[in-house]
Amino acid sequence: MAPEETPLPQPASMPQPAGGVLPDRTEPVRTFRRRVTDADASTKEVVAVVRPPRWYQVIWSSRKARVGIVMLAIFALVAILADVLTPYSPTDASFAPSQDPSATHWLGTNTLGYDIGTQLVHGTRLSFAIGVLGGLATIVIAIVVGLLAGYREGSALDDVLSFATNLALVIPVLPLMMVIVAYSETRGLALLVFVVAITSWAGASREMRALIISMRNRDYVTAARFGGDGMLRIVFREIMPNMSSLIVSGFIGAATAAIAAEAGLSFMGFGDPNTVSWGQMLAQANANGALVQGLWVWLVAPGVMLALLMTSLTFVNFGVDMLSNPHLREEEEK
Amino acid sequence: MVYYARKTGYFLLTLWAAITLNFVIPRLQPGDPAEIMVTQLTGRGEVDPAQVAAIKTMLGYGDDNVFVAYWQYLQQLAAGDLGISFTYFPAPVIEVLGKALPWTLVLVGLTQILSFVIGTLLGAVAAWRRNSRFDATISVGSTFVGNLQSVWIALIVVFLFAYTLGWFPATGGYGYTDPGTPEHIADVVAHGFLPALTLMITAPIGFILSMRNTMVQVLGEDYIRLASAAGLKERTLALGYAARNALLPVITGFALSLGVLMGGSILIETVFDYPGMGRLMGEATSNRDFPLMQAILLATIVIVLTANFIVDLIYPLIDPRARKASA
Amino acid sequence: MRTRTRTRMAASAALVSALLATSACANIGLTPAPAAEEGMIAEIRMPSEAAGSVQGILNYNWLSPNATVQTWLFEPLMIRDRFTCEAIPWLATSYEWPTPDRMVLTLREGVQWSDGEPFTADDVVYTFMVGKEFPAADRAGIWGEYFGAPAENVRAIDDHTVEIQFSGAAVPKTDGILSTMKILPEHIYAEQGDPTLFVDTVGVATGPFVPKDYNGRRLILERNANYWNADEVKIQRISMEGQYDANSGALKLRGGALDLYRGDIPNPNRSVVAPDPENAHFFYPPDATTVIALNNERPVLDDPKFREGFAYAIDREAITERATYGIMEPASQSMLLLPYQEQDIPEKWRGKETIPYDPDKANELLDAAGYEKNADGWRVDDEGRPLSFVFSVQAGWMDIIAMADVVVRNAKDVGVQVKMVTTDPNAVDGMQRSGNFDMVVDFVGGGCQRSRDLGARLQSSQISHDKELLLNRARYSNPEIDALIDEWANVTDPARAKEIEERVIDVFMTEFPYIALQYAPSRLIYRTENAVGWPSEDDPYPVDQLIRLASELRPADDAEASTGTGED
Repeated sequence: MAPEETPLPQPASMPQPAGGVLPDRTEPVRTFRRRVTDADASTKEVVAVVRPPRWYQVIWSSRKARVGIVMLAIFALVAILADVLTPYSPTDASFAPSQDPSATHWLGTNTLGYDIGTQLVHGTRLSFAIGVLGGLATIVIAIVVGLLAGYREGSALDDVLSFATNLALVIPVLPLMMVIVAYSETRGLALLVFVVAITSWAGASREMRALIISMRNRDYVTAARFGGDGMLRIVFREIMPNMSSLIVSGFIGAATAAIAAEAGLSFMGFGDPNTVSWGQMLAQANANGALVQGLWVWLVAPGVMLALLMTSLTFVNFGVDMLSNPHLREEEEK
Repeated sequence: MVYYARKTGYFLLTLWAAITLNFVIPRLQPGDPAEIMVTQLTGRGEVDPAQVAAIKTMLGYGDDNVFVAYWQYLQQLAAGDLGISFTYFPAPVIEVLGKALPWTLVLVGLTQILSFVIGTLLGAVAAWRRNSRFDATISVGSTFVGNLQSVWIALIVVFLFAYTLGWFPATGGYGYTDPGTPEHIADVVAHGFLPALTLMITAPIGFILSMRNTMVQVLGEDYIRLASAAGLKERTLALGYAARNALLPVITGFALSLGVLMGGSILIETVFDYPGMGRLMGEATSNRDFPLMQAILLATIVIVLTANFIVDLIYPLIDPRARKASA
Repeated sequence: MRTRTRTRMAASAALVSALLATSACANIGLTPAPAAEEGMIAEIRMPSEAAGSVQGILNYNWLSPNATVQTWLFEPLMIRDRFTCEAIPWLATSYEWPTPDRMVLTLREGVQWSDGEPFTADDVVYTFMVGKEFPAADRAGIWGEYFGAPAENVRAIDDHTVEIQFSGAAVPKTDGILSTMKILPEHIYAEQGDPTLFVDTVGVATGPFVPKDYNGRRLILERNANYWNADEVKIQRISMEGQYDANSGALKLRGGALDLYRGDIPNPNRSVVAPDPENAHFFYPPDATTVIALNNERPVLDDPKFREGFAYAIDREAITERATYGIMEPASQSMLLLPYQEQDIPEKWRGKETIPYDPDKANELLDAAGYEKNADGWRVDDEGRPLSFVFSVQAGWMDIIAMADVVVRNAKDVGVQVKMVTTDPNAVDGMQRSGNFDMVVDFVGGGCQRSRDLGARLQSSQISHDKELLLNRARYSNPEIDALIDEWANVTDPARAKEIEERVIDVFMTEFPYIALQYAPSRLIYRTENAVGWPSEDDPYPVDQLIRLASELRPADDAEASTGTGED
């Protein structure tokens, strides 16, 4: 639950900071009693004014989240600088195929003549893109449907939206994907995002709905309702900001799932062979018998990369979870 | 009372809508079942029109008006007739399902339940011993391992343990034993070991993490502090109070995950040549085997909807807070 | 702490011993095959022939798409050798068409069904007549208008002669009658009504093997001592188990658990042969020609001069490298399978039948055809628009994608823009049905009924219009050729047939309705430690009809009997 910020009564005495200027009092402030382990102050208690930790401080305080953020930053850099980092082009198939790792090809070449290292580096782009876009699409749909349905729990709107959600949950995913992919003229990022969003929004939507039902009866919502605000305004201007950390963690979860979904889709043959992504590399490695031919790296490298990217996102999510669930804080403050 | 009536009504309506979608979506896929079948039988790129025509007649999906076909389908369904499979002609769909279902139930069902038990246990212990090395190892380790693609793991596992080391059989649900003999059980277990191992590597992560998070939150609640201050033993506190309450949301997740049972394991079953429902579903989809696809989807829907329905029904019983239905 | 280390050690010890114990669990219940007698092969192991993955559904009836055995029980009348084009006598010793509407088959004498009943003309008559009452059983299409007039009647002239009377000329139906239909036992099937609905769990047939044991997954077939050719069958038993994708198949064969495999293993040289070159081999003879089917109805693509220039721009060697790891050869534009059908290449095309990679000549031809290059280097049509085509490729078909990859680059080098678009394989079929494509990959003929395999590719009556997918994928149309092919179908004079054939080959060689790329193989990968006599470069014979192996395989070492190894 989001920490509620209720103003506390001001302390009797306010310390004077060194500069002689009073602190800005536009934000609520909590007072804490701290023992200052200073030679001078060993017999005194000093009342310090400490602000509640800002959201980035909370996230950064978790070691896991720190690692995750650093890893993400590295991946993002690699994605942006892909052309600079690799000597070859990912669409250059002129090399001798099936070479083992060597000085000229650090990870070797695959059976079609592409340099594996180059493909691996450039694959970061698409995996990132599908994660961000797929996660975004999923969570946006889930929020709209889930929040509206949950706020109006029990009404006709809820019935319709819940019905649609349940249906989306039980729809046969494999034939549906095949139909969508078969009828689309081109394969590419847009198609992947669409398929991922269509197949994943329902689960997240249910969670959003359950969440908002539990938040709906808070006092500030009742106040807004009596104040005359309409449903949409209440949902999106009052409740949602308080759920922001949950929404962000939902987005990160959806992004992780989108990356995994792309790998699965490509593996089943629904991806776009014209593009380079880690999922495509896995699919090609398997279809061309990488293990059987002894081309280990081709199969292992993209799999490890996928797991690392998803892990970094999950780590960041640990940090974000701490925003909404203060009990998880005070971790790893060693 | 109204609550239960509404839930039942919902269930039936969703069932009908899902059945209709299951009828429509497979038929939207491009591709003719007879042509696909002939290509497979002859193994050639070009297709003999005489064979295609004969097989089309045999399968009997004809040129009926789609509404007529739909109405016939509903009638058959009401009479309990699931039709005859195209791929396994003339075996009826029910026979085919009956042969594939036990394998999936045993393999995927068992691993799901085991994952649930192990996952929640590990998550609970990790939450209880928060910030210890155990917790860090579990959280970090299970995150990385759980994010590995299960197909990727399957390929490596089978290559390593079955072909390179030769410890376990690589393919099949069983091998040389006859069903009904005692050694058949050992045979089945031996064949199921590697697929189960693959599934168990990735499945528990969701349960571990969600259980840990929920439990940490529950542990921070006041009543836990009160009980601890009152002198209740650690283990009683952990298992009897905290874990039980933390389990509630995790159970809903488990019920939903049962839907994974049916189709989700197709890739793994293909790698291990395991004769389960996932593989059957993939096969039916590639072959445009309408009767089989419809039946499998129906079975999946019924299982998922029923599981959710049951959870919805018993949830008010186990969580008193939810008894206060929408006012 | 101490207890923890101790429990840890105990746990690991238990784990290790459990694992060691399970080393034996890879082959529970496996009893080795009985030792081979003198001059016999103990066992040949191959994958299951059933189409479906679900186990335990037993049906020997070959009409079912999921028949447990497709090859070894029921037999055809004759087998057409794809290399030499002669008809090998099998259940029938000869056939003839006294008139184009009447076929007479002479059956082999002394053949028995595996339950002791004699094989007679009644069985053949039943097999064909049942298709009249139940069209689902008419797999050769003799009762329909497929490549010839429908049949009127099938009757037994005597115990070993059968006559089929058609309502008109029907010679192109020959191979369907000889090879597609497998003869059913009249004394068992006749009373079952619709034979396609009959679940045959006994498997009485004329073939070289009889069913022995089925445990739901593995089927064991035993040598039929009363087989009409039993002296030539040296295999004591066949064990059929499992459905393996390419990777599993390769690993199993390489490890010695399979004796033969027919799937598409990528790079068989490296995957299977290199680890064990003495025992593991493969034979990939050409089975059909892989071509680019250009839509002859579309602008620019309808110009034979453009197609010719385009044909010279393609690097077929690179294609075979990328798509088949160099195993297959570039194909002849005559659509004949080289080297086996070499003798049929007309004189004037000898030595020139395969189009070489010559981008200079391609540029020359395209320039001469009037497609000039614009400022950016792209060729334009007569309205100044750059030529741009879409190559529709089946998603997931790795070798086709590799081929298209090369074609796209080759086209770019001569100034033609080609874009590869992958779509669902069935959607690609749909595009061909409606004619809504520029270029697709197709497979042409290779069979011996050239009027059908090559001729139908050019006939305007074989152009699809949204209903079924017919054979003239390139949508080529020429009334003169139509008339010739109609004549070819039923011509009886071999000289005239040769003339027409040459004229048709001329069309392929000069007008390029399809552009040949490479040969599509039929595949056989096998091990020679238990048996020899497999087809190979030195001893080639086609194995599209696998039953031929029964009489061709010999034990690996003729001097001593080989023992079955049967391990994973």
